[in-house]
Amino acid sequence: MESAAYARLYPREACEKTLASGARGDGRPLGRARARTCATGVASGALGSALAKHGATTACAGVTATIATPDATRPEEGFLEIAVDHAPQASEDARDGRTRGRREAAAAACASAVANAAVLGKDLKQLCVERGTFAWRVRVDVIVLCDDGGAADCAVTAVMAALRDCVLPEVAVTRGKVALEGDGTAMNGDGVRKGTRLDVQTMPVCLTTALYREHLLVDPTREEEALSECEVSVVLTEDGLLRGVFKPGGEVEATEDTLMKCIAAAKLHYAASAKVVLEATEDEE
Amino acid sequence: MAPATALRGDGRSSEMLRRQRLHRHYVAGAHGSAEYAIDGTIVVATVHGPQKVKPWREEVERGIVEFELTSASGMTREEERACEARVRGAIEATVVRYDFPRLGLRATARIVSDDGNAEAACVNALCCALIDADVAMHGLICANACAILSDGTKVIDPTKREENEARAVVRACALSKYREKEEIAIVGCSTTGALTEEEYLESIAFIVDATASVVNFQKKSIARFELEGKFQEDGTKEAKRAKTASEDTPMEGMENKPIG
Repeated sequence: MESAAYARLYPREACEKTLASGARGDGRPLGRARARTCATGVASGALGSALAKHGATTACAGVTATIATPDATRPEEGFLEIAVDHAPQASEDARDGRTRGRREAAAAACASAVANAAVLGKDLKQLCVERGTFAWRVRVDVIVLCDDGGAADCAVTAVMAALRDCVLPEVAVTRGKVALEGDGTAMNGDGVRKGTRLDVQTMPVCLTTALYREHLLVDPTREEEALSECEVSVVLTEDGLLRGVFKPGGEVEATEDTLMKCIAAAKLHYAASAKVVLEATEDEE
Repeated sequence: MAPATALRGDGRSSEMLRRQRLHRHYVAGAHGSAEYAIDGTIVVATVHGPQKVKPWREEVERGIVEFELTSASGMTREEERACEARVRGAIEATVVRYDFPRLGLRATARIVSDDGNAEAACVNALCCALIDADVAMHGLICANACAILSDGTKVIDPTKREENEARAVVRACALSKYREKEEIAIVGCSTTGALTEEEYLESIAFIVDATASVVNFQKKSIARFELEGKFQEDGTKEAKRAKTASEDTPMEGMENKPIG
């Protein structure tokens, strides 16, 4: 029987056989993550945008901002919202109305990773335009274009690159009204739009590990995710602090030992993953 | 670091749970239901099914779990959805889903009042509702939370105030079943805020310890309920009176007893 047909008919057996040889379907060893790439400025209409790829998993993030009235209890702070969605072509169960367990878990993990890491500082004071009346409501929309496993990791990479790429337009408040200076598209000499860059203070990186029987598969592909049904996502920042450990149920329990290994894997891959985002956003500065 | 003997705002020590109350068969229209209260946090959970589900949702090999959460004010829709996903994951890991292929369980939980640790209360209430609905389970699922305060003290079962003031909160649920060897294993977990690896692992161990004592409480309550059911079958007047009396006085336990 052809190997592709065998893997399709007996996915568990095929996976077991491959794992027994110490490698995975795509030739990686168990502990290696896929190559990460990232590019910024992919959507010209957005204030900041980025496209991130982890292997075949692709996520596109765009930043938009509107002026809003700040919360009365926090008059000096703006808002930061993260929305993660799957494009209809992203995976076989991506259509609305289908079971959305995995997609929701990815969206929640990405949003809480960015919130826990306090990327724009502990409070969102840098988004304040005028105390108590005007503040920026920054919204990062992430669309997962292709879900080949680890959608949350890819979404976090895209969000971070887009936020680092984001330039808020200059606004002026005159007689109680807020207005853009010019039409908001004026360029600096070096080809960058005029305005204020967001001060991104931390650099969260998310890494998902799938638990399959006794094996730990770092950065699983879609097939591996479907077989394992149990993933642990670990979010780290540059100071070595955990900014989130998410395990959305699943049939396999995670022991203390497993959790330690997942965290160790995330620590091991942190530097390389963070570098990808930093390099992608440094080019134009 | 505060001394270990320092008491919290409500007079508990850092490893003390709040008083819990459990009412089984709380909603008459549901197949199984329970009201679970941890002092000021009250959750009503119901379970319907296994029943027919929408054809595009059904799975050929095993049943699905649908879960709907209605919260007290203070939770955005996104937070609710994220919480729903986590609780659903916990239930999926607990029930024997291969028992009802192509069908689904519909579970709901309503947070009547939230004084911290509401997500854990949802899971615990649902566990009791599942027992009430006679659904086959792998074990008892039990959740708890641990807050890490700004001075590094870990407090179990945090109140709303402690949750808001904490530097980080770890929430986890564990399945209580027969194990070959004693080990710390969790089904689901989520964290907010920033914490170190040691703090995280200690919190998990702390939570698993606490769930063990909550499971004891649940078992005690189940035993008592089953016994009363038999009384009713006898049909004697006295037994009936005993049953009504016990339904009015909810099961109480864990009265400020330290865990472990």
